[in-house]
Amino acid sequence: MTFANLKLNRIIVHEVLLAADLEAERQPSYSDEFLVLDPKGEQLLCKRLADSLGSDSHSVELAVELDGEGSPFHLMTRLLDSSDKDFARLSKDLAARLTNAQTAGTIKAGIAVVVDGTMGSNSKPDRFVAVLKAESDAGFVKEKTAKGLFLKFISEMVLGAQQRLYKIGCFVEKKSPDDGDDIRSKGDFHVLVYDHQMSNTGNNEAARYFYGAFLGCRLADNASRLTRIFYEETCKFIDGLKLTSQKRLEARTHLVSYLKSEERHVSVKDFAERYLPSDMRIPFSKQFKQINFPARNVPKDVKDIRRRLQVRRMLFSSKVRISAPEEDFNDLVKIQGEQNGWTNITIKGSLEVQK
Amino acid sequence: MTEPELRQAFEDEKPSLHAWGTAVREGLVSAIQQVIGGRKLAEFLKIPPEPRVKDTESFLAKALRRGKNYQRPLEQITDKVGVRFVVLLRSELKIIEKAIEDCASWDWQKDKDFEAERAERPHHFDYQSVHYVVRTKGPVACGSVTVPPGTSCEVQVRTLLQHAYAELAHDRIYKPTGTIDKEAVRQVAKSAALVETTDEIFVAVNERLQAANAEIQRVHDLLASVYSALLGEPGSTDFRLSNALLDPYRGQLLLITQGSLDAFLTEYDFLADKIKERAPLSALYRHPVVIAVYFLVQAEPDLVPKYWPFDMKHLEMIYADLGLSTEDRLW
Repeated sequence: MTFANLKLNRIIVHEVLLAADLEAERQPSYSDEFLVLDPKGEQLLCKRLADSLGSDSHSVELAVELDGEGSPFHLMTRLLDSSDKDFARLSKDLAARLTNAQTAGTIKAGIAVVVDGTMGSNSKPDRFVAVLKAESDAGFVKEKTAKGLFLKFISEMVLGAQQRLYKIGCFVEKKSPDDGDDIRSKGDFHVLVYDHQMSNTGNNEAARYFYGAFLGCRLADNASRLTRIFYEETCKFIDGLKLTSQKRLEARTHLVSYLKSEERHVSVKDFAERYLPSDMRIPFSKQFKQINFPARNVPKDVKDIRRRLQVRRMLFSSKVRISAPEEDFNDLVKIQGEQNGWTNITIKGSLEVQK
Repeated sequence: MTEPELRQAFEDEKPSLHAWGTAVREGLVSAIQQVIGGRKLAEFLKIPPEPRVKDTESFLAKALRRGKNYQRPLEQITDKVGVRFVVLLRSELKIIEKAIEDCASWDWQKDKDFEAERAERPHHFDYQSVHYVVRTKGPVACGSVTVPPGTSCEVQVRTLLQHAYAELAHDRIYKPTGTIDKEAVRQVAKSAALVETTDEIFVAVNERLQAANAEIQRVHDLLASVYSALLGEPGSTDFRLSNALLDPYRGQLLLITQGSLDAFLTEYDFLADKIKERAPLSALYRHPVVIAVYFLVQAEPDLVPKYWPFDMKHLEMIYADLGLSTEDRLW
């Protein structure tokens, strides 16, 4: 799956309200016609998709939870092979479902853009279908008039570059449908979500309604495996660096605190930018690229490596091993440096037991 | 031959002299263009070569000058028409000399050779230039004129500095009769030594720069051929844009080979369409270096923005085309 060479096929826009609006008998407006964008508009939309979902973006892979008839998955994936008329009808249904899912107080109304298209090489493109929910924001448009510059107020501007007030759910087909497949298999698709509210810390309540209640998905369940791989590869990288013992210990401390932090995701790019000197970031990213580690945010789950994050084990070239509690490591073990093949270490406490 | 007869004979010969001078110029210009390849002739030749027929008075003055004693001045005077080729570097003189010597449509002879003169008189600093005389082998049809066999044309070959020296010194110090200002001669000799020294430094500087630019030149040439194969038409040949965009990524240029570009363009088989689509709107896409930009962004998406020499907005579409997020990279 690569978000290269995005080509948009059908685009339709519907209004999305809050569930409470329906109770107040307000009706969202829907379109019957596809949106025709000029080339620049289409480029901008493609760029937003690539920025949000492409390689090294903050998107997250999802696992499909509901995949039966009438499920969000069924509805989304039917769009791909539907006629134009059905596409319009199904997309309205999606927009209505989104309105129904918008129950929490902080959620805002906006628009849903439903789009299908292709990505990847011309010879072997992958089809995708995406739904983008954008909140609107107020702003101005600069206009030149005979009297000089004039700012025209826009009460509902969407998809501005700096606002990023949008969420995108995207289903990318990895396997074509078998003949007569009405309900597609969830294994046929990669599902990604980008959500400006899916912050790295705290609970994701504000985001969950979108990927959960609306798209019928949950965060992909490979989190613990990927977190372990992230940990192991990073250890390997640190050990491969030509650094002093002191620097290596520091790097390891950063890794442990990154994994133990409150943040809900791990990201290769994010870790590199925060903790690695600039000349090491690129080799670090490359190492992960080589093992096809997802180039996006990965939900963090440390259950497989919990023990390894609690105890630091050090193996010296003379086969001497030392292990120490990770917490307070810096207060318990002091490594003063190396001289003539000896490492000077000072350990807090006195020897109690030998095994 | 009396002076009026000689005058008339020279006047009669002028159209054919001009025609032959023009033919020599054309022949050499196309031979030089072949050797210098993509470089512009107007940049290689520092002064546009124009055939110049001697004016009648100076022909007569030369023909009748005492001491020369020309028996058949019309045949013996070989610079009745001349063309001058001026280049920047002394090392480039050889290109023109070779073009003259390799041409099958005339007989040539070297009339003045500063390197031979220098070897003969190492203490002497004087006018330096290479003069050739090229003669028609048989009758040559040039437009409406048929140039008779044996018609001569003088070809002068100089560096720009030698030319500057000649403009100052050659005509004023040596040609006129009368007493010579010895101090002026001394000063001119000093400047000749300086010209020779500076010409040597120019060549050395050029070699240094070329060695540093060899890798960029290699990539520039490779991209030109890959671009024209991909797009079916050649891109811009402007080396300056290649240099500006490739120089910041010297450490990565080794990655750019025929093989790696072929593999990249096979995987990203839509790039030709993207480039074609944007070429009318943006000069970057009309230049082969755009392929290297795509390639480097794909290989080093975090590195490229760090050293990108132009406005980041030019990179935005490149990232989007390749499916790479620009978040935290370009803004």
